[in-house]
Amino acid sequence: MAQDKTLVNGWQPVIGLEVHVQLTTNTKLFSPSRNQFGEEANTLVDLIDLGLPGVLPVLNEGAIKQGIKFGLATNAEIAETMVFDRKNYFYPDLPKGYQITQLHYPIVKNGRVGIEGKEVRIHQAHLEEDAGKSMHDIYDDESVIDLNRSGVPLLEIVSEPDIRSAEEAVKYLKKIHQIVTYLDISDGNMSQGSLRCDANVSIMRPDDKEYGTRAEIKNINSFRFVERAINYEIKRQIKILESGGTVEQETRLYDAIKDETRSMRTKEFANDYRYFPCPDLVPFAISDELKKEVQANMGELPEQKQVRLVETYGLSEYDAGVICADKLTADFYEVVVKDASPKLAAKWIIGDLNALINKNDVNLSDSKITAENFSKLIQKISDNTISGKIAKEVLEEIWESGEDVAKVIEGKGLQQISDEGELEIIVDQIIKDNPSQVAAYKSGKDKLFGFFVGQAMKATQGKANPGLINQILKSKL
Amino acid sequence: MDKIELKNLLFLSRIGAKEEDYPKIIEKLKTTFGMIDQMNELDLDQFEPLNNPLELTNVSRADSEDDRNSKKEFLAESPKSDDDFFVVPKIVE
Repeated sequence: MAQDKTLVNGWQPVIGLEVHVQLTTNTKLFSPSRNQFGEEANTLVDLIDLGLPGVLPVLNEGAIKQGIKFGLATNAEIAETMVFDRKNYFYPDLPKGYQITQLHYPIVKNGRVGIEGKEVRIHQAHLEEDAGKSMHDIYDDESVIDLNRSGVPLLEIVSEPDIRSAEEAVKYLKKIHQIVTYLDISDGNMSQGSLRCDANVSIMRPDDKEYGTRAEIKNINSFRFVERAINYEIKRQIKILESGGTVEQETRLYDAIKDETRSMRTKEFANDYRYFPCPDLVPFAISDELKKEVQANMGELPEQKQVRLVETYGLSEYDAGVICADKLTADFYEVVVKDASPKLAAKWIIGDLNALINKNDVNLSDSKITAENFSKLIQKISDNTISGKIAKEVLEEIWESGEDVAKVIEGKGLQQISDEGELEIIVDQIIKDNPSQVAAYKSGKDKLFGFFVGQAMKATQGKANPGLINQILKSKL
Repeated sequence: MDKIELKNLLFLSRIGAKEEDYPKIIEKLKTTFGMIDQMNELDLDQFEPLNNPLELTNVSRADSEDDRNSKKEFLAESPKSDDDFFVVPKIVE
């Protein structure tokens, strides 16, 4: 149990995550309304989503297949028969007064994922419906409800309490994100709520036999917040226990602005959800044929893609791993290398493009960079139209504007000067203007060579072809 | 079943009841719970739990859209709405 490097002040944090993944089905879990984010409020709502009297939910086959896919990808057991239950609670964004979910017979059980040499067990993953969305800032003393999200299929992935630090929690969450996006069962967009996470956090002494009392932190919607919320919670619990208090079992909300978790008092009675099998839905038996059909359409998993990139494009395992860490980047890469050098493309994606993504804290898909345009940039470096230094400038420009690479280079006159005659004139002038440096160089101060290269770059605003300028300088000095 | 448990149950079910009726309700519920206790005495270990009385499984549909939305009518069904939303008493965590 004891893992010294994860101990905090001698306390062992014990963490389990519940990850809610919105599935990418065309329609909702039990109604034929379209499943889509960002549409006009209350236009993707069906009689079933409203829970009007007399309507009957009918299970979406697409959601079953996506659930099975996740189970197969995590070496889990797929249920022979799954059953839906009602979880009863009153809240304005839940018109029926209950959520249809799976408690005792979930679609997936006993899976596992690896995070850097460690295995995190998945207790279960179950299908359930999402609730609607409440908004509180439109009216002063009333809230409003949009039910477009009501009934959207979710896969709730519940880990065992195998995680021992906030850092491990982030790694686990990233792994889940990677799996569901590669399987194409979720777009993984955390800012739109497609992937949300609750964290169960407790602390214990390393040789304690039993876990401490846990607090559940609700609705964390970014990797960074997972780490911060858990670290805050660990410190809060240590402070309580070390001052002789006891941790209460409760639900807490993470406030990203104040960087703290606080108790959700309004739900203090609501722990009794009175689950029972949903009488509107009959059990669903998952046949071997269905599992085989899903298996045949699994698509490529990250590890498989990594191997393929190494074999096809001659990338190092490390580079292929970085590119495959996120499906968007991997897909982007494969479009770029249709026309551009695979190794150079990898170098620029891993280096400068990733730096821009991190600096601006956005998704590649939300940026103005397209794979086609980025491919042109790599081609312009390969054919010596621009130098690496200028390419950085062009990349920043297309990051800002999204404009065509060729146009940016032309418009700004950034083409590399590879005309030998033109460069010779420039070098001659530099030699003429700096007689003392020339003399010093000739008398053995080799280090001064860099000075002349610098002067040539300065005279051409960085556009001189570096290989050519070296060659000319060497012959003339 | 005592008064406190009943109060919690009424709250969870959003059912209103007068305090003077509590003893009557508790008596009735006790009869119901008595029946459940009796059923609980049966040894059912050899049986799989019955999740649905219908001998039916695998009712499902293809993942294709059918737009049956009628926003205006739907909003009109609720106690209060504006042009776009259902309007409810303020709920803030």
